[in-house]
Amino acid sequence: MNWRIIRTIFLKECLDTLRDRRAVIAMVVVPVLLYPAIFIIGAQGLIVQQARIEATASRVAVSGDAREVVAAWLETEENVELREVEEPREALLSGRLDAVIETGEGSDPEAGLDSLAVRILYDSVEPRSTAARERLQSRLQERSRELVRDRVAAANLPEGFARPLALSSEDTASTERRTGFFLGSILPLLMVLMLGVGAFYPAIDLTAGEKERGTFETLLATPAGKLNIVWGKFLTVFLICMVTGILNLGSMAVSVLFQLSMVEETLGEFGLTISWDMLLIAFCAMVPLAFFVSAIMMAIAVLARSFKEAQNLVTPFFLAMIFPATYAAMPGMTLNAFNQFIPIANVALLFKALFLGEATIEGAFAVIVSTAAFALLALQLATWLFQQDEMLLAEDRGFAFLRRRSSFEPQSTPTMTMGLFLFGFTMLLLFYPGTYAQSQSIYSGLLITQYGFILLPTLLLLWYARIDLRESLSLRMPGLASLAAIVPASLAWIVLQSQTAVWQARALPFPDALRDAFEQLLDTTQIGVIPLLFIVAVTPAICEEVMFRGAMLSSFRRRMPAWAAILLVGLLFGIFHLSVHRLLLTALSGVLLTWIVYRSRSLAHGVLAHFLINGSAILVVTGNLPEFMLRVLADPELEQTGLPMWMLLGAALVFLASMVAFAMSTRRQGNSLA
Amino acid sequence: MLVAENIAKSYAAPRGESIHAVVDASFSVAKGEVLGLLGPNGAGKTTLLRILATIIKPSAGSVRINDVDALADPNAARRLVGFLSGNTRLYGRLTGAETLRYFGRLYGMKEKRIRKRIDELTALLDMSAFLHRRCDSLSTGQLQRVNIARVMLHDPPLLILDEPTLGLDIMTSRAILSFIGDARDEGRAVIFSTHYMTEAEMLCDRIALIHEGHIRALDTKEALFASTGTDNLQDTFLAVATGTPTP
Repeated sequence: MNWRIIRTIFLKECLDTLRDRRAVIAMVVVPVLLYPAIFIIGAQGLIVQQARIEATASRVAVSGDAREVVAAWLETEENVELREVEEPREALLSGRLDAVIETGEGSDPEAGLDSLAVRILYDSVEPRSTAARERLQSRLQERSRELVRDRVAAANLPEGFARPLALSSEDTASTERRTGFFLGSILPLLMVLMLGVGAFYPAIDLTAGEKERGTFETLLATPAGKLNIVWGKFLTVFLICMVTGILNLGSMAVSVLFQLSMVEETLGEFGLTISWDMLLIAFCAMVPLAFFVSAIMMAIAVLARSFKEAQNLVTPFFLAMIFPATYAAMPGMTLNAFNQFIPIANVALLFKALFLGEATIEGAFAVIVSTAAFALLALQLATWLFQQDEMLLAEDRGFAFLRRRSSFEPQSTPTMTMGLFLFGFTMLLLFYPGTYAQSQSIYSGLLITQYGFILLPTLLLLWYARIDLRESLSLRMPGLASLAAIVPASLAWIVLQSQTAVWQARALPFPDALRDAFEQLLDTTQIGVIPLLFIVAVTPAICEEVMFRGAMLSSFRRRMPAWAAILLVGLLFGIFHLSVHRLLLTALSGVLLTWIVYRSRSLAHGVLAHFLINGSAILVVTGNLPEFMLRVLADPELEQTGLPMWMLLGAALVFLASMVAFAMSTRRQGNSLA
Repeated sequence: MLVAENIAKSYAAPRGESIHAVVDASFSVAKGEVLGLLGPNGAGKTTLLRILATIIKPSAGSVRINDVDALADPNAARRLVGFLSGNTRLYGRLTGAETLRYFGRLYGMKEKRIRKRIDELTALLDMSAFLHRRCDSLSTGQLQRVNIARVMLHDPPLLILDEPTLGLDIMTSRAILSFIGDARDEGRAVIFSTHYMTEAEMLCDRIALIHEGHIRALDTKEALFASTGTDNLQDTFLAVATGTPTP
């Protein structure tokens, strides 16, 4: 790396970006001017509106037999103006009244010991009407308490007669802690979004934008070197991401705090102590996150051939960033051994812990180190993509969708865009018709989802785009030795997964609803074991393997190194199962299955392994295994104790030995690990 | 000056096959010589020139520029090359002077030398009126002059020009052709591609006819006419490309 060249590129890109009016508006004008304007005007508007409502008398009509009694109670109220109206309900609906009191059954409570039914009618979407209801309710409750006191006194009863419990509550959280909780839930989410906003434009402009403007070729013809170019550009994106993130966040935080201080009386007391230590740790966590977001966005943008295509590719990642940030914002979610390694979510949780004063140095260290590791991986990917000639100089061919079939050139594998489209499209099918079908009938719904919404769209896309099925789906005869090695490996994997599930449950317990859903699915009294194996093991082994290890793996391999494609397919496979509690386990299995198919170049290995993993899990849960195995694997105490060490070590050894045997048997077929 | 041997470039294509953009191209260019690459769109000219300029790597073959192995040490080779393409654009938000300074630094030039060369080229190309204006406000002709200054800034002994007159008006095209002639007179080697036969006839000392990735013929204009029995490059190209004599 030549830092002089990197500095030259970095300074030029910064100058170029600063002269771009759109970028400056997004980076500086919006955070510095717009947020304070919105929040301050909003706060002032709220205060003015509140004051106006408080100063205005509520127009109230009282109806019913006890009209005069109730009206008398309200006559002394300053902000209540009693009116005589013919049709009070009509008047309320038309806005001529703010509230109506209907007196019903019962007699005058002042005259005897009867109870009088009183109902307040109001319009909840009208602020004046809501204020009227509060005034009336407050006054009537006060009057009710006075009457109780009078009756108790008249009957010579002790005061405690009508108040057997003197119930009260006290919030022990300090104002700082309450404010910290409030801000800790909102600001991390905003920070992630703001960093995304900051990196979005420069990541695209400096890569796909430069391609589109035709200046990339000139740059590549200089002795700058691709590594220096990618670093110079990356540092620019990173700096802009940080500056925009800090400006946005700072401006928003100051505006929010200002607004809170202005409406303090309305919402209660707020207070927050921000120490320099907190700011330092927050900054330290923000740096690797900005690094990670910038590198990922650049890596995605460089795949595109034009600015517009890059926007289409980067936007889904930007939206996906919201999920881990929202996960962190959920009430009760705290930093733990499991989630401190989830990118984005971990930094958001660290921010939350900082605001609550619960952050530990160990937790902060783990978050910063793991985020930095992810950031370096992302930058490595971006750098690798920059080294590809085809990536930098490809002409714009536009999107492959919505073209006539005859216009497609026959290809051996689907493009990356097709792979991502397939994933997005099947996710949509899964969300809507898939969920509906499964809600009607779990078993037939699963079959419809697997064959109709996963396998069929995959095959249709490959057929329509004239993709070679044999090549893209790795339809090759498997070697017997490698197939044989898959069997013990998959069975050992299930044991290792069981232990992983135990560890995960300690940090992220499985909810009862999910457990019930699984029990219902695997209830063999409704359906026999063989049909269950067909629906839950054979079917996904075929349909999901065709989509993930076939079409998607081959499409990602066109533009990515093998390791990146394997990790991405595994991760998307995990996400596809739509459960945060199953994400880790399914993503790990996804990575293993993808590596198996990549290594053997035969989908059959993936299908067999997938079937064995799902099938053996079913046999464990439904108790269709020899008694001695069930004693260990289906032990109800398993969640507390974990698997015995001898079994874990045995499974790990079997798994490693089988994988080595598998790797050796596939190497003999002429493959390499690279 | 430049020796290219057995250059080939293939891309992955459908059904595991390959597209051969350039096939076994060998030639050399001497100092003070203009070599023209003549061929239709898609013939492989741009790919070949990008390989010579070390922008992309060949699948096979070797390129030596002034005894520098361009594949082993591309950065050293790039210091000897000035590359200009018809598609080359400049950074719209930088001024001409900023653009030249930027490229001078990327070429590893000292600040003093960059200033001196900018002064020389500004005078030579008559750029003083617009040198400090942003490139997005310049006319096509002015942009092309800044581009030429960028190519000449580090004083390269070899110029690689890919369809440099593509889409330009007559006046600007003439200025580019005049620049190529001057470069040759200064002793620089020039390789330039075009599909305008008249440009090739007017400027080139030797012409390579390239078709479907293959160099089908390479010689002086006169020798090409003699070997094909033709009297203009258009007929010569058709005769060479189709393998049939022209009427």
